[in-house]
Amino acid sequence: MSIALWLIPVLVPCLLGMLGFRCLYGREYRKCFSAEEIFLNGFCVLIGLAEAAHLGAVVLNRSVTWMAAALWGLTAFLCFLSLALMIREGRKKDKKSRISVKQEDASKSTVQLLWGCLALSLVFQVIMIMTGGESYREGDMTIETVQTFLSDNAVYQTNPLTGRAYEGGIPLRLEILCLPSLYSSTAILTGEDVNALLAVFRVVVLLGSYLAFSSLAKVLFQNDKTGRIVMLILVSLLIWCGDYMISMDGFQLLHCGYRGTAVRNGILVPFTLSMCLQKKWKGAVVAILAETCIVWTLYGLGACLLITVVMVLFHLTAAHREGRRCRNS
Amino acid sequence: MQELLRNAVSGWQRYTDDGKYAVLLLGILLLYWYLKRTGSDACTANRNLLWKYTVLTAVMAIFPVTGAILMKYQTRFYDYEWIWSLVPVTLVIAAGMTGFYLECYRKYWKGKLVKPALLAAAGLALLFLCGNMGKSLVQREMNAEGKETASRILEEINALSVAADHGDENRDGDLGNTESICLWAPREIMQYVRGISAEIQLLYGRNMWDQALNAYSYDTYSPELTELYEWMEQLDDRETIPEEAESMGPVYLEAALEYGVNCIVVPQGSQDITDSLKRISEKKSLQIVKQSAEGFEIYRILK
Repeated sequence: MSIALWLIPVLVPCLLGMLGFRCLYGREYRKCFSAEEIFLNGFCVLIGLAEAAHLGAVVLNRSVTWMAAALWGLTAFLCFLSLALMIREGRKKDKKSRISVKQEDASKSTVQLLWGCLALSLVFQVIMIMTGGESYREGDMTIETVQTFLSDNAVYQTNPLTGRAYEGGIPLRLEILCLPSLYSSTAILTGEDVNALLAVFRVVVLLGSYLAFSSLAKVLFQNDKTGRIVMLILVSLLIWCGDYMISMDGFQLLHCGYRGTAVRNGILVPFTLSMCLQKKWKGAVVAILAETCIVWTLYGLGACLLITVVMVLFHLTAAHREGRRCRNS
Repeated sequence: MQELLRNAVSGWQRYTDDGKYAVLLLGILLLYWYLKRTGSDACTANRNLLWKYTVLTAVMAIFPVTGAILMKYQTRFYDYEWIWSLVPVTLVIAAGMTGFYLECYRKYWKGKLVKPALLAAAGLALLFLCGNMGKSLVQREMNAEGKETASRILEEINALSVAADHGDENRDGDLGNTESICLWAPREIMQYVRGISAEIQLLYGRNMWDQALNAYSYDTYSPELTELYEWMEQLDDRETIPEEAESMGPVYLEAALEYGVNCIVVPQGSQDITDSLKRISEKKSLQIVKQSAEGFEIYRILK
């Protein structure tokens, strides 16, 4: 398996995430965002770039090869830009900006033991994904779509399920979803078999999900490192045991992590919640946009948008109450 | 709307049938409410906000009217269980259990061993009882075996096509059978073919039996194609085929050829199909090459 296949979904989001947050929050983004949040933001940016390339290919009627060149050309440019900025800012780095946080209770050995348990569980999940047989394909045609894109070297020219020309066509809302294009572009770049490639993406989505939950654990338990690790271990157990229904996070992450709904439930929803709890609304908007590019919901309004709207209302109500209390006192 | 309401009512039952995460979530929310009332340190501002959000979305998902509204919001493409994507079930269960455990440990049992261990064991037991582990692995392994069989059959088909091409080359001096393959086979083969190779066309796709896939295109299948599918699926268990359907075999085979099928795979022991295909090929002056593999008979039809 080529190294590029692992580097693209792991390294590229990190670089894109830094650039994305820098654009949204300026140079000070490093003080506000953790490494997890940077990766997750980068994952959303990568989805956005894939969407741009995909729409370009659909609207201009271009080939999949053109789409792959556009996507990876743009991604490479942005990654270099991000690297250059990182190197430039790295020299000027203000050491005082790094705030050391005193950790609460729990001996070092306990924390290490808990980390070990989490790592073990994660390793077994990765092994299960890579070796546990075929992914769950009911109600989904991602594999066929990617194979058809690569075979036709065109986007949605033939019905992926039969290989014959469309008679009635394809719904527009579906036509703009970009995950099959991201996968086929990656397949072109790495020259890897589609099934192996999707297995890698399933692992990346699982890891991304852990990072999203880790980011939430930081928000909910803050300096309590033991609490954060225990929460992640419980998340891991819930993933193992949530293997009973397709809509459960565990089922999606373990059996069909490359689907849009898996990315949404595993990565985007926790990421949005994390951003909303910290009132980092621009980060939530990035997640909303990423969801509209990968999941078919009503006119692009997805779960992340609803979460953000509810959270904004909660924050506004709380602020209003606080204001009234201040006035009364 | 009535249909959505009905789905929302039955959906909750379905959602809590196999696993009880939703029930566990409600338990955690109640526990948090109790901790909040007692003024526990575990109730920080962020956790309060998350608790409020989860209560709101869980209540909306459980009550049929609000559930139906959420289902309308997420489009008809998704079933009831998908509205639970809005409820952070995994997060709240994990955070709630962690918060409660650490609160108990730090306040009452610090330095003790038995009681914290018992509480942890009880929590884990509850988690395992409410969930379900490894249920889908068997299905995935079966799928892997099915895919393996389909791969081997596709290899045979390709070998058969190459052999036929060489035969033509020897006979005519040029490659006459480079046309793409259009396959008609039982569902157990057909469902994997396009995932293995997009070079091969199918008479009908997975959406013939997986209805959810019909939402991905406006294409529909004619009643005749549905009849062909049903007939092919009956071939596996020949004793159950009604006499009427069996007599329709030659008609269906001819219809399939009209649809452009040039490769047919049937379960082994279908002598009458061989005879029917021979008759059709003589009538239409086609050439048929036959090969057996993996308990199936492969017929490659050449012009």
